[in-house]
Amino acid sequence: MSLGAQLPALLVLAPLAASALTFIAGRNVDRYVALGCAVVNTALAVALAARVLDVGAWRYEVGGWGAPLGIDLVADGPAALFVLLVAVVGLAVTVFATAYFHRDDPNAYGNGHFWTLWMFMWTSLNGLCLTGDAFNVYVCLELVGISAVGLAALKGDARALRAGARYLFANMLAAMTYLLGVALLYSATANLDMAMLRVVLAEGGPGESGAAVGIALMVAALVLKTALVPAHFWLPSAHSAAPTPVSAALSALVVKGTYFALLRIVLGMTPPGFVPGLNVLLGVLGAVAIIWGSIQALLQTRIKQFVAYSTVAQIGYLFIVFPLAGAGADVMSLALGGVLLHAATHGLAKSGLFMAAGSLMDRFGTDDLNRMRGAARTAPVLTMTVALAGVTMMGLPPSGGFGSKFQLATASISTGQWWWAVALGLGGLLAAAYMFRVLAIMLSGPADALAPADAAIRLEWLPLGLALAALFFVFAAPLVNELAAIGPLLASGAVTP
Amino acid sequence: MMIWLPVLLPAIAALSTFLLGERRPRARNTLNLIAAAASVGTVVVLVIRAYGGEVAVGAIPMMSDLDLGVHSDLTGLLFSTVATVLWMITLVYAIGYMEHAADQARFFGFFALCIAAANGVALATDPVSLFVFYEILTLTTYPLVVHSGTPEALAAGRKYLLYALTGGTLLLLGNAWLYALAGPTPFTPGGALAGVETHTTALRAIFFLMAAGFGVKAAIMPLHGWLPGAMVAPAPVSSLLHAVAVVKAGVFGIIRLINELYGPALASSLGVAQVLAAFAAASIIVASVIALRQDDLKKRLAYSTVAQLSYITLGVALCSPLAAAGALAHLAHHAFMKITMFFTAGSLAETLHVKKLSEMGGVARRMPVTMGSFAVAAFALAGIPPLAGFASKWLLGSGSVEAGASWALIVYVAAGALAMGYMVPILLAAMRPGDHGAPEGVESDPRMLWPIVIVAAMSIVLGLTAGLPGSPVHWALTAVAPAFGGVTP
Repeated sequence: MSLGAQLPALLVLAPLAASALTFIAGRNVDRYVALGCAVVNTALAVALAARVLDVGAWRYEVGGWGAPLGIDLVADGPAALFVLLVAVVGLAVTVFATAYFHRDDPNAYGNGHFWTLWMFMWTSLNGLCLTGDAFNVYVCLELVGISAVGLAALKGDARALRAGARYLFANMLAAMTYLLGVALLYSATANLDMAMLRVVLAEGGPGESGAAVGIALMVAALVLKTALVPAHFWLPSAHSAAPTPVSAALSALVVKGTYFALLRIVLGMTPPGFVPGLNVLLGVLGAVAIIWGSIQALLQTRIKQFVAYSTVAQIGYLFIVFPLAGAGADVMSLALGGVLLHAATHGLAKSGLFMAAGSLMDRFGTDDLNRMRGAARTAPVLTMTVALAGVTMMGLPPSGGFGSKFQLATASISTGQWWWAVALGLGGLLAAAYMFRVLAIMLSGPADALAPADAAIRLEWLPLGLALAALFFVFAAPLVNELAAIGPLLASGAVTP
Repeated sequence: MMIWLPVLLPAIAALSTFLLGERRPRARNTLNLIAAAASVGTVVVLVIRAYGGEVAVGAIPMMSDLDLGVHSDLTGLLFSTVATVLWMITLVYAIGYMEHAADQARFFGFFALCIAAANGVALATDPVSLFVFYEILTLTTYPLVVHSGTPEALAAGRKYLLYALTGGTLLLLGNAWLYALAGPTPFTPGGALAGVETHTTALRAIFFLMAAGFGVKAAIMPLHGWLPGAMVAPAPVSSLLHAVAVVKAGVFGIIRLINELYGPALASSLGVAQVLAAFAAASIIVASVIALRQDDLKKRLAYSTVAQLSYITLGVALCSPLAAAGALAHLAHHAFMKITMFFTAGSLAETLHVKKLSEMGGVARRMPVTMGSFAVAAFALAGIPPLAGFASKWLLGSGSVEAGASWALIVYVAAGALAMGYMVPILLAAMRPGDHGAPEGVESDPRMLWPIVIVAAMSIVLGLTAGLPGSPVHWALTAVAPAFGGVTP
């Protein structure tokens, strides 16, 4: 077996090793271990994507056992894209964190546990993206959840602990529900490998209703962890109470990881129509999320809450792909390419937006949006970052958000389900409303006082770079569409219920 | 590569302007002027080649089988030339006008970005590429509208976004529907929808979605509400963007929509062009009547712009070669005439703090050259021969007859009379006695005066040379011919 074929395992092992190392390493070294690991991880992720484009998808049998007895990792196009997204945003978050957490401040980052938890979260996110086993998804969900809760509560003040407890509750509820679902599924089919399950479920059989209930529970659990309306109650507090780099990682990556598991289960494993009404329900909730999240974002007065509600809205777009399942392969490739594009571009823009929001908060010494007047003059780079990330939130060209909206709208209209396109258009307008409300404050005068930029310059330019990457991401659409087509997710499109 | 320069050069100027910040204003101004001159040079070379039949094409892969594409066809180049040439002239004016203003880097940066976007709109090869640049234009204009940061400016900005982004969303839905129906549809003179003409209901709906999207910037009534409010922006913005780049991007979109996406034949057989023509005709009359009653000079000019833009929309919606050529020529002519007037309004406001007709007494004595230039532009706009406005209106009028729509001819003639009606009072107000506390004959800053003189002179030159190759009239006749089966009228 060539070294390239081992990449999926390496992508899990490398950050795991780094996590252990940062735990042992002293305060002077841990950040460099994390940085080194971030660079290695990014290189591995690029190599994985390159290999997937080169040789197509492949399965990696952990320990050589092979499914159904062992656990398989699946390296396909969508997985490679998500791993790459985790790597790029992860690298940016790591660099940002080295400037954000002062080495000489003993309490600033959970007594140094930030790096350990962060590397651990990276491990589990990679695992979540690469696993091909329905039970292994559960394991990864738990690991992501534990590290994410730890990171969210890192500040240790009352607000952070309250938000963390809420987040923990959502996580536990989701994990238990998922476990129940996967147990039902296993008892009905005696299988846990998603690719095999796809065949088994398509054939149908005596255990069909049990399997359907199991899948419904698994989906419900993932919906809760992805914070789809109405299961979003935990997200705004958890994402806004966390330290800025953590907010960025949670909003940009963690909800995407659980969403990816959902893609695998609903599109890759379950034949369309197997669970009656499931796909349409997900689409409806997605549309509601777009509208509801945007309206909430419009009403927020604290900057991080505002950004977090924008995430609630943006997550909705990702669910428009599900009601289209079962359409022809060309329509599905447009739709799947669209949501992958959205996930990636939103990940880039949202991490940039959270970093900029956190920096604005620190500079102005308040999180009150109405006291950030004149930021366009006094903090032009941060304001520009908010504006450019905003273009992505609105889905205006040339951002990747435009590409995803266009592809999803076209796919919806092609299947005759034009109402999803209307929801997408409305969502763009609402996003413009909430983004420009904030930008108008920043452009208005007279300027509020703000502290000079004390931290390293990368605190300003790094988020701008992320927002710029998102702004031109529509030109990455050909690559994303190509990756979307590699692997079993699209194959499901051809099967009619 | 060269085909991208009209977009790239202003974008590079914008980027450098942002990076320079408020440091070294002299370097920033020089850099912007050099970029503008280089853009003009590029466009001129492209025009010469296009006249020789050589169309350059550039494309960047964007989505599955959609590219972001630009090409140097004559129709697009006409708009691009107008935008680029007037950018250079407006830059000189703006450097004088903004000398003591705050946030100049932001101003000049977004100003250049607007021109990059307008050039993209002009040269785009297909409706999706056009949409991309069209929305960038919306976004980059916003910081200029709200430049002063006052509550009034912010309110105008909100209104502008509400109109423009809603229009943009309709345009996006139209584009998505069209793509779902017909796949990629690159602009083709005479129509790009061969093979899907039978889907008449869908095509009608798509047309109205797109026309509404373009209609917002083209200020077709009742979608014009944002324009008078946006006059709160600094004078160079009102001049170049709200008389030329932004509003013309709207009418230009309609020109592409009818002549090169649907094709005049299909647009009129579907009955959609006639509906658009009716809206445009109503806009001409209503906006002209409203202009009669405006005391605020910039508002009066803004309503005049609404009317004049609909001259263009009506011309292209008549689906006749002469009227379409007149529309395209008027796009260029109106730009030079109206920018003269907005420059003048800016000079009056900046130098004399005069913003209303009722305060204008004595300004003709105080600034004879400025007001003389204004008078030339005003008469040109009203269609007095041999000035520029007459040439394009002659084409529009004869096109109306050619299309068998004599009602349109009546509209144009009536609108000409109304234009006299709202322009002449401005001149009379300027000649009333009044005192502005300074020696007579002292004009504004030379950087603001000379651009006015130059653009006013253009109104004369373009009218006198209307028959010669390279003039907007000749250019427009050549450019629209392929859309009507290649017959040069």
